[in-house]
Amino acid sequence: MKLENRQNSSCTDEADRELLCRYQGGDETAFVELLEVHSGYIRHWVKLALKQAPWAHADDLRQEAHWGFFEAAKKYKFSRKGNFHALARIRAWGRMFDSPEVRIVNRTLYENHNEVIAAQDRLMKKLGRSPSYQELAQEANLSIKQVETARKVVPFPSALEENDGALLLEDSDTSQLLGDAIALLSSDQAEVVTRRYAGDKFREIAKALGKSEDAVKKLHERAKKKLKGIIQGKGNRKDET
Amino acid sequence: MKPEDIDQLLESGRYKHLSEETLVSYRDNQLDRIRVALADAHLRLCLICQERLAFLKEEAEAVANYVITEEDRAAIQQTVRDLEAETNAPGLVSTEIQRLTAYIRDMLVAWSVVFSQPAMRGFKDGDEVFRFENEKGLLTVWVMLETDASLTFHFSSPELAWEGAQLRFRLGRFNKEVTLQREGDSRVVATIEIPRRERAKKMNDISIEVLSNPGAIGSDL
Repeated sequence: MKLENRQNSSCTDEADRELLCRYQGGDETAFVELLEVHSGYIRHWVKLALKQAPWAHADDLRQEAHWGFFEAAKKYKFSRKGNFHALARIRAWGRMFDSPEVRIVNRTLYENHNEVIAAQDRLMKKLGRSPSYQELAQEANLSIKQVETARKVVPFPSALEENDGALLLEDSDTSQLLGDAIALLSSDQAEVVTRRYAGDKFREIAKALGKSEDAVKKLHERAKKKLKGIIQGKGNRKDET
Repeated sequence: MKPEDIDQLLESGRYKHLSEETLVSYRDNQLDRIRVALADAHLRLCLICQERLAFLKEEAEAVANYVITEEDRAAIQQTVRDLEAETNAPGLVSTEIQRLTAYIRDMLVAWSVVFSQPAMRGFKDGDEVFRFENEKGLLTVWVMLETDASLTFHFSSPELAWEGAQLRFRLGRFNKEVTLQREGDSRVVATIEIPRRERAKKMNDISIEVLSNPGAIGSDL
């Protein structure tokens, strides 16, 4: 199998997909190219894994990561949302952490990490703000030290992307639609909507905009009506009122 | 999205975790002002997404201007050799389509042995006239002569990665394209029915092509 003399390790979603298309169409050299452009990332992932399992051998972990990468390339579906890079990372990381020498020790840490994620999710909604370590520990039934360790030791964000239904990820299409619709509002309306979205109180928004609270509430109502209209496809003109 | 969902979306949207796509765009300053505000609204609340963003920043910094080393190349070559050895396929990195094609080819060889005589003789309606199962059990094909004298080909495999693969089937003048589809959690299947009047006289005049369709083949992850 031929290795091209590529110098830089960089990947883009578009370039990845082109290589994947070639590979899945039967061009074996495309897989090697794909692996090459991700070699910098793989090295970084291995380095992170070694921080958590310093007893493991870097070469072994890299081979595991390569296997995970291969699985991702083989299984990647073009109709699927999400980029290949994220999938490759999940698979590579999964392989490294499923390797016998790493798995034994880190299973508990993974479980704690998932507990912490779930606890933060519940607290975010309950408190309407970012929870403290102490609150997280209480909610997750862990000590503060365990929470800190779980968050530091497993910084990898794969759990969220596995889409196991336990955590709620934004729907990119809906977010895009909402962003587009807000962009069509007047600047005041957009300001009110985004601030309300962020959880600001009408009083706070009124103060920031130098308007009365009633005026801000009216702006917000009008903005919501406008948003509904836009999303229904009825309104697409910039509202300057 | 339904219009009535606006209130709910504005109320609860900020509790939804940001996708990696959004986080990467945020990191790379590719979001417009509105989307930055929406992302910020969530990031202010969510330690997890703050960490994910930090992770992605760190990752980008780690690979910035990274130059592939000879060690990388050696590791890649080693991986390719390992993969080839593991899958026992010449020049591995054989794709799903290539694997399926190889199994179909084996099946056609078996078919040509069974039907070395062009005509199909000695079978009764309702009989199974052909069965093929490869060594690893990854592809089973059986053919039934139905009571109405039509012929039914059944393809079945536990290899879910083949979901979506298209087969172009021909027996005599009969042509059909079918897609392997998921049946339950453990199999992909396809069925081809050849009505009596379209049955081939020469049973060994058969071809099955696995269409190269990389966009369709692959399993859900």
